[in-house]
Amino acid sequence: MAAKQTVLGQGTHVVGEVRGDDALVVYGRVEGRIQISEELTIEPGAVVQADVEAKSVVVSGVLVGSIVATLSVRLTSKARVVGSISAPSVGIEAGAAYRGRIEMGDVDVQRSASASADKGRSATVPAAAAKAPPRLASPSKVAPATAPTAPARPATVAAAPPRTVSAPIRPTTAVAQQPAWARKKATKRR
Amino acid sequence: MANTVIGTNITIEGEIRGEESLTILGTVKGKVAVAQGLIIEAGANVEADVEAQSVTIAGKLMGNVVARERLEVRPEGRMVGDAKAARFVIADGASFKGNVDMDV
Repeated sequence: MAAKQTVLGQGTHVVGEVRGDDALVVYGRVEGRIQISEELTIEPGAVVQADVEAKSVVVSGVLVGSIVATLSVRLTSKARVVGSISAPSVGIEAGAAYRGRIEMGDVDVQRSASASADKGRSATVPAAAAKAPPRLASPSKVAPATAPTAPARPATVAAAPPRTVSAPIRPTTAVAQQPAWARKKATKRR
Repeated sequence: MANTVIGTNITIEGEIRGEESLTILGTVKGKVAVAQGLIIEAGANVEADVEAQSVTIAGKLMGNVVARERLEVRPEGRMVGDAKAARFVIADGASFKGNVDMDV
């Protein structure tokens, strides 16, 4: 494993793209992009100006650029980092200097969360429209049976008609938005 | 410790400059310029113009070479490109195609 390890020494300066399936240790300078499927170690004295992608990243030197790790990111006490970090696990030791945005957790989880949120929004609109008619119908049927709650029902009946009114409005606004797309597409096609 | 080694499964596209020796086992495309020795090991694939004090080729090199001291193509080495070196060794079994200039 040690023989397969890639080392960029102190006096070495790489401009461009480094990628592969080996572990990479940087003592020198890298400008551009690093994309490896094993561990990336940026040693003290190293200067990396690159967007970095690896299984895990340990920074003890200077790194300017975004970090994406599938496992973990660790900034040691000697690290100086500017850029966003995205990894399931992020550790910053005391003494490290960092500026940027950190995102933990899997990207898939975020996507599914945002997707379910969108589904929730779109689902509430038809649900409200679907629930409105039964509410209108139910007071007329139930009202004679229970007298004490009768005062409350006119309120629900009064509230219900605006819902039924507002429900048809939404489709019309949606239809109003569609021509804007249709027009753009139509003009492009022409 | 700090010598530069580019492993078998690593690809570098771009420019490598160095003040020390460089050993390539993987793939390099672009340009390589090091102050000391450059070793292209067996299995390595380099498509680059290369400049170093001494160059040893046991892998595959496509590109021009400037060696300030010595250029050696080992028996398992393959080289296509122009070679400029003070001393030039082509081992028996090596493959070479290009111009040679030994008047540095």
